[in-house]
Amino acid sequence: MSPEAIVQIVTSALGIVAAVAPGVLAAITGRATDEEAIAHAVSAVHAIRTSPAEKAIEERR
Amino acid sequence: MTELERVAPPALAALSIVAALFAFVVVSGCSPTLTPLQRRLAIIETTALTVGSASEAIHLASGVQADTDCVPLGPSGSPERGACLDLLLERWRGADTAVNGAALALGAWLAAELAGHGDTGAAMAEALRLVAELPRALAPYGVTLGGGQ
Repeated sequence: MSPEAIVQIVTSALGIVAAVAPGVLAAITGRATDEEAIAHAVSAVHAIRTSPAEKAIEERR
Repeated sequence: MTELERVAPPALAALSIVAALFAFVVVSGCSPTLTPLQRRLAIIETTALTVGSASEAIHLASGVQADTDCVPLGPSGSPERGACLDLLLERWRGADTAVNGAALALGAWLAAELAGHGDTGAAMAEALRLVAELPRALAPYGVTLGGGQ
């Protein structure tokens, strides 16, 4: 596996965790308002990549 | 395909799943200050992490397979590469369908929570059912969630 591919995988994994962690931490500590909780949940759901295989394969066509 | 190429995407997905489950347990059991809405939104958020991790693992694994099997067959736009990618796309369609279904159901659950109407239980049950089915749906593709192959 090329170094670029490894970087891509690690970046993707870290990106997912980084995107969600603040909202979860805020919820755990009870500091989130309803509005903040809604914004984080909406953002997390919208961040899900749909048809991931199709996109990966079409990028290589 | 090398061992690292085979193992890396599912392993990262598994790590993310463990993190999501940890957050789920903490949010569910140790946050008495959360309002009911905030608690449900936190569960939606951590569930979205699970589905998002599965989606990223599929994206990476299918891309690696395309790079290995199809890209060497010809330049971009060539019939040989295109035919190979068509076959690959057909092979991965089930994985896409599983993730798309879970993402849609999660979106419907979130919409139901935000709309504030009474019947959020059905939307939640459907979303969690589809997410729970992801490991079995993705196992044939070598994408393992939360455990070994």
